[in-house]
Amino acid sequence: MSEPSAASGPPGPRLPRPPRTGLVWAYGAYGLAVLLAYLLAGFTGYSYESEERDSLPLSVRQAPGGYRSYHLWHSGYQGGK
Amino acid sequence: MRLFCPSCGAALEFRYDDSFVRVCASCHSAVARTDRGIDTLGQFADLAPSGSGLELGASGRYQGQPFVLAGRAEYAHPAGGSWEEWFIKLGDGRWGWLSHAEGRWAVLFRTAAARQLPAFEALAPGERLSLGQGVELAIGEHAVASARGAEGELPFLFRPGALVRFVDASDDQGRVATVDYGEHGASEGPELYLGRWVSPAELGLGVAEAAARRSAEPSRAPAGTGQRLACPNCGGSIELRVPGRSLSVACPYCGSLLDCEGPLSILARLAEVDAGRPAIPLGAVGRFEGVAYTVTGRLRRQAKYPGGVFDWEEYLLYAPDAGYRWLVNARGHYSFVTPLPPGAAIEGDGGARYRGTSFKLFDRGRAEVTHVWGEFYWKVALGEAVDTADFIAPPAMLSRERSASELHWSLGVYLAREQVKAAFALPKSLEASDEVAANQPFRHMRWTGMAVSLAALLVACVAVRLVSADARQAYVGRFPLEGGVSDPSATAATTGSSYVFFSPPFELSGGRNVEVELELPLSNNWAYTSVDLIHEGSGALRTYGTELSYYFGVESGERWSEGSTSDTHLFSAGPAGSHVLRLEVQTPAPPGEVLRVSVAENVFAAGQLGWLLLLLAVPTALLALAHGAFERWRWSNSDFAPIYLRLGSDE
Repeated sequence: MSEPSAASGPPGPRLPRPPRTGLVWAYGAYGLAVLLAYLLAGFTGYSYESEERDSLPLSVRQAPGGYRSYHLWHSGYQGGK
Repeated sequence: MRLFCPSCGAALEFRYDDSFVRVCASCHSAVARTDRGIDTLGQFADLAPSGSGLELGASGRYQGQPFVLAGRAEYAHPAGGSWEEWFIKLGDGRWGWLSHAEGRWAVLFRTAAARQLPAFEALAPGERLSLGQGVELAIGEHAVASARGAEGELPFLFRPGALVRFVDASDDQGRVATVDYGEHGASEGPELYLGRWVSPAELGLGVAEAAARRSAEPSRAPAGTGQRLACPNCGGSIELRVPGRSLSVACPYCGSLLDCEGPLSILARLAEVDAGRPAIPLGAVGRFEGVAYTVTGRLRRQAKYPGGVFDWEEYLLYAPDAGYRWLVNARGHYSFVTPLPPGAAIEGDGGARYRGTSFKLFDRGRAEVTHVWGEFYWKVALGEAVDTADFIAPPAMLSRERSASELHWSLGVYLAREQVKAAFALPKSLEASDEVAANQPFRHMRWTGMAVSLAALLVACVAVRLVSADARQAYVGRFPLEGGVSDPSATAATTGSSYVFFSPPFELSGGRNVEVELELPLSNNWAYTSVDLIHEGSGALRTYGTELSYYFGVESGERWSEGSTSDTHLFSAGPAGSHVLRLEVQTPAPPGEVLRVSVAENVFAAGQLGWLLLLLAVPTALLALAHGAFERWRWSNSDFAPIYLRLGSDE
């Protein structure tokens, strides 16, 4: 028996792929934006953790102990269990 | 070799040395060459014009070999109708068989079987036909045909009226086979013809060009070539839209089912006439996949399942070049259905495969015809029943229908109502359905592919950050809690001391995040620490506060603990240069404990990864929930729902 050569594949229509809807594209765009934001944050050194900024006079370095953090100074944090 | 017909005396010529039969063009006698001379095998009836549009003597190419259409035979199917086979003489001297049915072409060659072929009676549609050497095909048809007519030159003894037992089989690799068992009681063994499906373009017969030309004619419709006949029951005028191919037609006036293979005759008188107007009228022309199809018939069928009866409509569509298709209306959901060769789909446990795609079994039952309108390519009968099974991979659905002598596979593709309306240019919208169809795709079904793409990108992004984040250590220090001062604002409950430390200057590269890690070995105690990161050059200060607390004990015989003795904080990137840390610790812990501090820059931010995952997970979960609900709705109509959907249902 000789094998039929170079079969051209199944004779029938290819299976269709429904188009991506607008919502799917929006989902993809959103995901891409989130990923890019993540990469951007990583490479620019961004951190979302809260911190306060201020400017100190250089004299602070010459007066250790004379400066008290405004966390304690102003809020008077009282921790403990 | 030139001869004269023994019947009519007309001149005839055997062009090929190895042909057996030449059909006389004048009297249609089959003239055979034997070792005793020439003989007539009988006379054929007139041949119908070729449905394929091919003509004797036309030439083409197959796998590089030129060929000529040397002969044609027409067989009558036991269920009515006929099909034709062309005999091709190739340039290398071989004879081949070129068959054409339902728009599909196949080239076959007589082949010696690698193993003994099973007896005709031992085979049935749907069974596997093993040809040896790993070739196994699905049997699509198992029937007896009769030789009706022929023309040209034939490579075998072809006797008018001979009954031929045959088996047709094919597989999903494009291979096709016919086993010719000859007449009942034939002394010769079965003959195997093996080949493959081919595209018209491959053959170079000009079929594709002719088809394209004909399809491009917008007004081309078989309805225009209709033939008017009178119903033998009521005398009503009946238009045959596909004369020559339709074998039965329903009278629109009296409902009689008529045999239209020859002169109209009554097949059944009791058919019911439905006065209701169909959504798509007979004769309407709709364009699908670029081909104009005419609605020639309409069936209503029903299937009985343990849960009840499900009925649907099937519109039979016809285009001269593409053949027959179906438009199925399952309670407001439409599918365009293309017949497949029987071996194109492979049925397995709980599913089927087609072109590498898995389909899940959705339903199985027995479908019967309950109403008939228009004309059909077979002799349809009310109550005609077949075993059916539907397999789905939305928007596609594979359907298998099996009768005693035939196995049919078809591929349905879901169409939105708007697509059907546009295809037929219908003036009104089609009736909507409030159910999910078996093969209706979830509207946003391609979100899964997008999610996979995003997941791959996520992995890539995280890998990039892991590789690029070198976590360079900028400073490590140890600060014993000594020499503290009492906090003047402390209460009796929070009595403690404050300690202030400054680190020596250390360098930061700038432009990268900075992680500060604190560790204080607390034991059932707390410490509030204020951390200032000061850029010495500008005096810019960034500060945060954090509480370290660690408590533990034994309660009701069980150990417990809460809090942590360490904490990390991630500063955003700041300027490059020399920095110092100022640490102020407020704690009631006894003096002597050591506060460990480390500073690193360009670290991998695990917290940001958490946020990233959360931000991606929320829309993904919403889409997954919506998709899952849709699938549960779909599968609520099936007895074969996947177990993960059954577990989530209310039933």
